[in-house]
Amino acid sequence: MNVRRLADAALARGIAEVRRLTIAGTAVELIVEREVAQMILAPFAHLPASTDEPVLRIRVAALNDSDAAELGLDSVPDSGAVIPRDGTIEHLHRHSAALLDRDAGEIRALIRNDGALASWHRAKPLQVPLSIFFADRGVDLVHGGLVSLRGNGLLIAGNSGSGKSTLAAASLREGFDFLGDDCVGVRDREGYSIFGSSCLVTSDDEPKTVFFPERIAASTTLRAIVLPRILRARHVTMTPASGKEALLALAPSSILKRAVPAADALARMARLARELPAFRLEMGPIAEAAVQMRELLERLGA
Amino acid sequence: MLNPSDYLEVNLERAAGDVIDGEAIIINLETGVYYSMQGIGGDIWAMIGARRSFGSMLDEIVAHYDVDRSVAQTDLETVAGQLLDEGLIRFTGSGSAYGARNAETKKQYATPQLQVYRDMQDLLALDPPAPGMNQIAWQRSGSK
Repeated sequence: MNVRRLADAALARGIAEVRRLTIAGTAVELIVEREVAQMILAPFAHLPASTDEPVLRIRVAALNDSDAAELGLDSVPDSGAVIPRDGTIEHLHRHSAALLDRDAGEIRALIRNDGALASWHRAKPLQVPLSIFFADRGVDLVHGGLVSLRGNGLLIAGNSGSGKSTLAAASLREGFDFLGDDCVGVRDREGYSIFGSSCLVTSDDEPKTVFFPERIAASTTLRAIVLPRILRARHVTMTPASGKEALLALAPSSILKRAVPAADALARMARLARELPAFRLEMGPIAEAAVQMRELLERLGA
Repeated sequence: MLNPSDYLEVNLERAAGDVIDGEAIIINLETGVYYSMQGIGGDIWAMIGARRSFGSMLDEIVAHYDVDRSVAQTDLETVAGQLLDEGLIRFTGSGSAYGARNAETKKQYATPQLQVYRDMQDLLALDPPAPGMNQIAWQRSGSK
């Protein structure tokens, strides 16, 4: 319970910022020590405020050297460590420590305030506890992009480098709303925005400056899965893909990184891949790809 | 060489799999390597998931597919050996008892083949998954 004690002690000492948000339909309260507030709150800044009683309370404080030494973070392997302890789950990393109390609906985290950390390192302390918390509620955090037009969502699946972020950003030009380009939530046919995206953040100094702030959506109904591939072709082609192709694009990276428990999450993704139509989008000109995204929804009657 | 009385099961601490379009999609949670098992691979994975014996699985395949028993046995031994080598399945002491009944119309047989995908290696080298996460969440999901 050291993470709980150290995080509470740090928050008791310092000034904290408080936000109440709705994440994947769940009221969440974030209490963050001011020193790390910008780093922690920025990825959630686009989500709608909530006035409901929080189901999940997240408390985050800065990690100092003595706390890191007490927690033994220097000896944690590169992969991190997930440790069940006294009915809670600890997730330790070199630069962060988090504790999830599933029954109480509480996450406490300590993270080093280090500008040299990569963005995915900064997001790390909350990803694992959030993925477990939401998995308990049937929401899988999947590795994919998500855009929506008039409440009709297209889930963009593919490995890193496939063009998910490019296609999601380009879709804004055709009137789509943006929900994410790397980690989004999925429960049955509903898709949710979870973390903000680096592609919508102009810099770490201006984390709330997004290119299209009015075009961020919190949730959508999934209509199809799109599997982009950057080919530098002269024209964009969209062709039907099999459920197997969709599952292969969606599941491995999602499950290896975030979605738990693996067998349950894979079964849910397989059901999604069976039920939703899937399409390969071989990308040439980006603007043309965005048009194809809009036309796809029109063909689907959405 | 597998014996008819050898029971097989999915190595749940290490692997997750499902069947779609008749093929099995399997993920090695420790290495990040993932697989598709084509041909009658979906049926084989489903039978391993049901903790069937090697003999019972062979009976089931011969009963439902247009294939010689010796061919089916060789193919099943080959693919089961690959799955064992990859750590995706394991032997278990006991399992489910099934009696295979001949289908009225036998389906076309297609040799089970394990296709291996290793393109997650770079991603995982940069940001490896934390060991133990799957088991923790798995225990909880059964109790809720």
